[in-house]
Amino acid sequence: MLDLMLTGRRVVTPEGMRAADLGVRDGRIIMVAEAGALADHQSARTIDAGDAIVMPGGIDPHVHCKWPMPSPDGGEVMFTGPPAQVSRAALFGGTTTLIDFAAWQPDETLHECIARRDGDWRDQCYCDYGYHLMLQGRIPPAILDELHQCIGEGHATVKIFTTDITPSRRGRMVGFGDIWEVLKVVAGAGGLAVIHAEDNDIVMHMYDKLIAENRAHFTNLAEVHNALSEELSFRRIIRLAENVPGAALYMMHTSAASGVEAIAESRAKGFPIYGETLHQYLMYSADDYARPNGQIYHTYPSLKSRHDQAALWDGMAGDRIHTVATDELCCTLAVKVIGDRIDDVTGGNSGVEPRLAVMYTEMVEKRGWSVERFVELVSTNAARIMGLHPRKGVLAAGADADITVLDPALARTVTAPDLHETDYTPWEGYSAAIWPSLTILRGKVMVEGDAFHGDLTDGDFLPRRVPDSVRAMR
Amino acid sequence: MTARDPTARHTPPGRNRSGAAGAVPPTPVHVLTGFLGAGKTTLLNRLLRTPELADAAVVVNEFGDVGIDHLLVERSDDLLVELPGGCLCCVVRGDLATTLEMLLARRDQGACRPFRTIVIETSGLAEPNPILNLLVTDPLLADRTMRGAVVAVVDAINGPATLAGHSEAVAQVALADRIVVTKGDLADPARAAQAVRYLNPDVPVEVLAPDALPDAAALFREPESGPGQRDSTHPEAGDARAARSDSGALHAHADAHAPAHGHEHGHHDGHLADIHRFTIERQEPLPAAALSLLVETLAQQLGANLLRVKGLVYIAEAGAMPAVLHGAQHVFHPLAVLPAWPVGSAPATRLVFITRGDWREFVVRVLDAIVAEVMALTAGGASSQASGGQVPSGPAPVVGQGE
Repeated sequence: MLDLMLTGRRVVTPEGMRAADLGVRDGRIIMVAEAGALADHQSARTIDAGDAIVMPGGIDPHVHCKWPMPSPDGGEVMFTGPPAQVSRAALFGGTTTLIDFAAWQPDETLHECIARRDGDWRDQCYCDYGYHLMLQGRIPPAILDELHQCIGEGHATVKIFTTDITPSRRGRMVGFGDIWEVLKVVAGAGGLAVIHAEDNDIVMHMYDKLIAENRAHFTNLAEVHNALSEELSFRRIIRLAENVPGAALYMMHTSAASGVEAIAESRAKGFPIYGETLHQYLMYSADDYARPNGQIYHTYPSLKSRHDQAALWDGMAGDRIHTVATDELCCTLAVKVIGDRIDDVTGGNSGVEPRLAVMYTEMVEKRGWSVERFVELVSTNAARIMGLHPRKGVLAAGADADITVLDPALARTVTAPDLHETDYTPWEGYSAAIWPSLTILRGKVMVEGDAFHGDLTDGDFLPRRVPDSVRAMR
Repeated sequence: MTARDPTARHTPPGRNRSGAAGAVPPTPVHVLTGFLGAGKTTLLNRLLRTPELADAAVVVNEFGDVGIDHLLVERSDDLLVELPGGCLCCVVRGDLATTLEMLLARRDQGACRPFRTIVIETSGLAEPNPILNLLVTDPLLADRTMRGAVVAVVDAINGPATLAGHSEAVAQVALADRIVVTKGDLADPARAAQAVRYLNPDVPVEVLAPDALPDAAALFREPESGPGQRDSTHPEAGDARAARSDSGALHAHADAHAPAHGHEHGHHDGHLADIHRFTIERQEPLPAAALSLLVETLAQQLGANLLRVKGLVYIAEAGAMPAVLHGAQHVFHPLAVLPAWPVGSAPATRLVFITRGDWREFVVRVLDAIVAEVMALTAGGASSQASGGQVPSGPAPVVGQGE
């Protein structure tokens, strides 16, 4: 007896998109069968997806929920939207797994940091989740020891900044000596380092220069967080990692052609390095800062040129960029646009809900890419790289029954009131060719049309282990 | 038995679906294959004029192939011709998917006689696998067609040498549901039949008498291995027949009661010398995740060296639902499901592999490793199911195989 049988003509399996029946029991897919094969077997519920796309639930490997935001006037710290709000929106958008961050503070142990973060998430999230362990500033030896242990306990990825990002965020950057030590520990423990790479000297110099020249309006952000900074910083940390036996890298929010090129050259040598970009980087460029409320398109490092954007698309086609994330930061429009200087614009992006529909429209409808390629970029690759495969990211026997149905009949114009995140969206007015009609998390129907059926206790923390195949020289 | 949720049907507006009123069942598509010179075209030529194929549409590469030019027939256009007996003959223009879609569209519009089956004649060097795959992956074809029979023509004179010298011929025979041996009057067909049985032990082989025609209706009929039907070509049945046979062709010693791995490697020439057939059995049910990992590993590690794998899988989470795994090279089809385990046999996994190169040891070790890892991860509870185990290396590449 099955809990659920879902049949469809366009089911994206690891062997390609085809007609198939999915048998679900106890929260897992127990069988991917020929279309019609399970029709006569008992099932508590049967769903016929018809021609809609049936894919593994989306995975967003870069979000910031309940994250402290630096207040522009130095006042009270505000927090970004909490897991409950973001995960609900994510499920409406067909995303079933979020990977956020646990930020270590200097006055605590890593286990205390993780426990603190668990307090923000446990029984307060509708979808499944995990955290990258985020290190900042000086890294004491005791923390390095603890890091090895934490990686073994299922916190497989470690986030490092090579920059403070803005003058007001000092203390975030990890020095290269400490980065070297961290990379050695991560390599030895079988983890993966995930990097926000910028050249801090170039970035801070440009802040000083533009402020002195009275050109501090945020429309100049691309001059500060420029392509040269990406080139220098990517190459520096890549060369460092290539000299640490067993190291592997994941470059977050790649934004420029120079970043893609640095990843490509390293991959050509067989080094295990993976690229992430953001859906807003694929859709907008620095020109869009000039639009009304232009801040809503911004995420640090920054939007770049159209040439850089083209390189990101080529990068995805050419196995240099492997995942499309959001760098989600859920806040009101007022908070997003309160800062209008190069040094105080609110970062992040409100996009966790439209991610799948927008990327499907851009990739499959407009560029003719295969549906299978789209699924890899928004789900499967993230699962593999982040150590969630084969439990997540695939419709295959044994996988969690995280299933999203994208229906072309629900094509729509994106508008904030119809979304579930906040009071604005960067995609206001965008014509999406498809929209999720059904989102299933481990066998439970969470979203069906406009109805939400999730409970706050539904989401599970996901322990992760990055497989040798991802970490090994290629 | 199942309550289909009517509100959950998603049909794009304006699309002509077969699920609409007056639904047409999927059209079987059969594939007629065979190496150059095997007599495939000659055979097809004659079959086209029989009443049994009167309701078929035959897809060929060129009209000249089947002697249509010699007929005085009225041609509606350059693409489709109706033969006197009623059979439709269609030429491939562009790619096969477009041609098949055109054919179906004409039938929908009433622009040609309503055929009930399609027979595709492949070129001599073509392998059937890409065509079968197309029927499943192309959204329109997957909806309107179903896989029929793969019929391979082998000739008694050159068949054995062809199979020894050409890997395409091997693939054609390995995937066939039925074999026709031609020119049996000119050479002893037993040698060809022996070579065929080595590659495809269960397949029905018909040795054609000189002026006889096979029964087209029997030839182009869905093979008996679909869900809900008794699988007379089931590996167990086939191996049992072979074990009892004293033809000298094969001695399959598949022991159903022990996890022994019968391994065939007969005395053959050329390509055939490198073809290995073996059976993997497991009495203990396999976790579903282990099946997925096995399929992924087989596709990645064996690739083109996996000519065919077919058999029953006993999935732990779906014990009462026997799954039929069927794969060739990189292509694994969604599982077929039998309504029940074959009468008289306990549930068990039993997979028959036909490979280029001796991969038996590798497959055994890989399956053991995968099952152990999945069980350990499940027992470990808190750990994630990461596919990080070391995959044993395969056998050394065979010299002279060529790609």
